[in-house]
Amino acid sequence: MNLYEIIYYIPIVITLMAGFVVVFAANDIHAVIALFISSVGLACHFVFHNAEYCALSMIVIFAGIALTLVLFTVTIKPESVSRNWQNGIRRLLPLMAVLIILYLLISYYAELFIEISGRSPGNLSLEELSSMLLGEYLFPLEIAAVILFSSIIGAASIIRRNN
Amino acid sequence: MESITPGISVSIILLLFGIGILLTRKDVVRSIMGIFLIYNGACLNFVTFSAYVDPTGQGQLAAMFIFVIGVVELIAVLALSRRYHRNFQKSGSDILQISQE
Repeated sequence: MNLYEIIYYIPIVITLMAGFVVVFAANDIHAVIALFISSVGLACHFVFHNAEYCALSMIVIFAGIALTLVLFTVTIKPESVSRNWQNGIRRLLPLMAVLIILYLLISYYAELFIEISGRSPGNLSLEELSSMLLGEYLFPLEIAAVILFSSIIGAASIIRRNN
Repeated sequence: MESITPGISVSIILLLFGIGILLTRKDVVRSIMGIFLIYNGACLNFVTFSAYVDPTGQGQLAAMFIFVIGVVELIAVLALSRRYHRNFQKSGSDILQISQE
């Protein structure tokens, strides 16, 4: 097993361990943080598959989802947050920091890893991706935007209705 | 490392984790987490097949659309749960339990 394979399997192991924590954690806050760690590990895995933009959007979106779920859990379900939840977060924070640093390193040296693995880069550039989004996939993009906008309007109207 | 086996294996395990959460936890927040684990597995499938089988990048675009669907689902479920909590003064986690009674 060479260096590339070791670095290739580290995000996979972290993703699966974090998924295991999501299933079996007793505290919801810990489960949310484990879900975010699992997503960052998966983003590292995406980089090896030449999907850097997908990885970036995944990290940004899942950071927002994790923050939303933490806020929702704290405001709606305060009974599910145990008193010593901060200790668990302190244990998980170093793992999260290590994972994010690993993601940055993998992203920075992605070309090198792809070269070591012997694969042709075949990378999809931002220009090609955006031309596909705004050309061939313009209609699905607009449909997705309309669905997202209508869900936001619907959620606001559901919450603000007073009867 | 030319194989698609690791990506497919991880996506299957994430799918099993998500199904396990949906079957065992009757809780809105945990159900959302289970659904997002299933979405992660689906995205990994798309990206893996996009990298090894169809290198035109369509799988990456499908994964990005899956992110949008996930955010829409999160918005809808959290709004409904918040509304339920305001009307019945119960935790939003009781929705699934009551719907099964």
